[in-house]
Amino acid sequence: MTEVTPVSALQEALKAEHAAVYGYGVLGARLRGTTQDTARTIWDDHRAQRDDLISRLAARGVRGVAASPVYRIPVRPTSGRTAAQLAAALERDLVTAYAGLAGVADPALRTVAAREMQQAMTRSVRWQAMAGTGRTTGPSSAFPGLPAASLAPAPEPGGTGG
Amino acid sequence: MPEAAAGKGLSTRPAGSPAASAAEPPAASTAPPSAPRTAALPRRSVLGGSAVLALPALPLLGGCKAVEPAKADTSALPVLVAAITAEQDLVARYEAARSAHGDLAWLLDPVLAHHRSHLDVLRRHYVPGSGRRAGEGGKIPASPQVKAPEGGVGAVLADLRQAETGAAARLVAAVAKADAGLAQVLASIGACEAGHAEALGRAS
Repeated sequence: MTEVTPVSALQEALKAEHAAVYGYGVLGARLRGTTQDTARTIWDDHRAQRDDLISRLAARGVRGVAASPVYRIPVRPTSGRTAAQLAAALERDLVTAYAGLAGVADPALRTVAAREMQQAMTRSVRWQAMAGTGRTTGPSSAFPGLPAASLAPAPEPGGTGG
Repeated sequence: MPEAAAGKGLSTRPAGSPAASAAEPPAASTAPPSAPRTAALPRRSVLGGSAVLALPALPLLGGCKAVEPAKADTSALPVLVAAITAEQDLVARYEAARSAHGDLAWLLDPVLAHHRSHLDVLRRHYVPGSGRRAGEGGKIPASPQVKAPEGGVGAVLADLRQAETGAAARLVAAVAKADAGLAQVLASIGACEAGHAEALGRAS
């Protein structure tokens, strides 16, 4: 298994923030009024978070990964609705990216990751509702960001032995 | 410059944001927002995170049946006990709300299923204070008896939302005290609960 170091986890989170900054810039063009204002605020938040991650890497003597010139986007934003769907998808990807950081040894970084995961999931649900694809009941998974394999350690329920 | 990035974009982007300059779309263009040239990188290769997740290797996990387990590191026990207790409380709240307001089944049933999954996974890791480790402390209190708050659907949803928000906030603090593997699980549960809170707020 590849060891997850604070640097590698920070870099993964940074990649996702770069993608989010790109994606919000694209989807913002398809939004209007208060919805566009919301996207603009979140865009600013992601840029700030991207810069924070770069600073944290620099403090460790590491240069943060650069943004890619282009990104494959999971939803083509041709309308306000699909723009909201894209935003929801970007935020879900951020939840996954920060889950790696939640497992590093540094408790401070774990706290950052947990907070960002919550914010990203909140935004994702908000965008999902704005996309108007039906009633919104929240996250689709009970364990957003985690692969199923990570939820099945060797059990010792009740300490009754293996 | 990709054509997809050539949409109007968000107008407040300040000039000279160095780290983002390569990825941020331009501020204005008349080109359509999507085009083939956007598909330059597999999204997973850019956003992937699951592949880097460390599988939890909890120090509290036991070994085989024939060998008495070594004394476990119990420093994380209060965190796990608190997490299990919180999930028990949430399950009880949702069950009470579901009994009182069947018309909310479309919203409450999926969320209740999530909380039951949280509880199952946390208990699968270790039930503090039980079995061969009964002497290690950390006994979990019994599930509470909860009645749905009076005041109608609005009061019920507000109560559940408050409970979700509080539980999620406590998990932000908890991840710093747990071991790394459990921290990932708790962080994920917290994200789920934050999402629940948002959905409940929108349903109110």
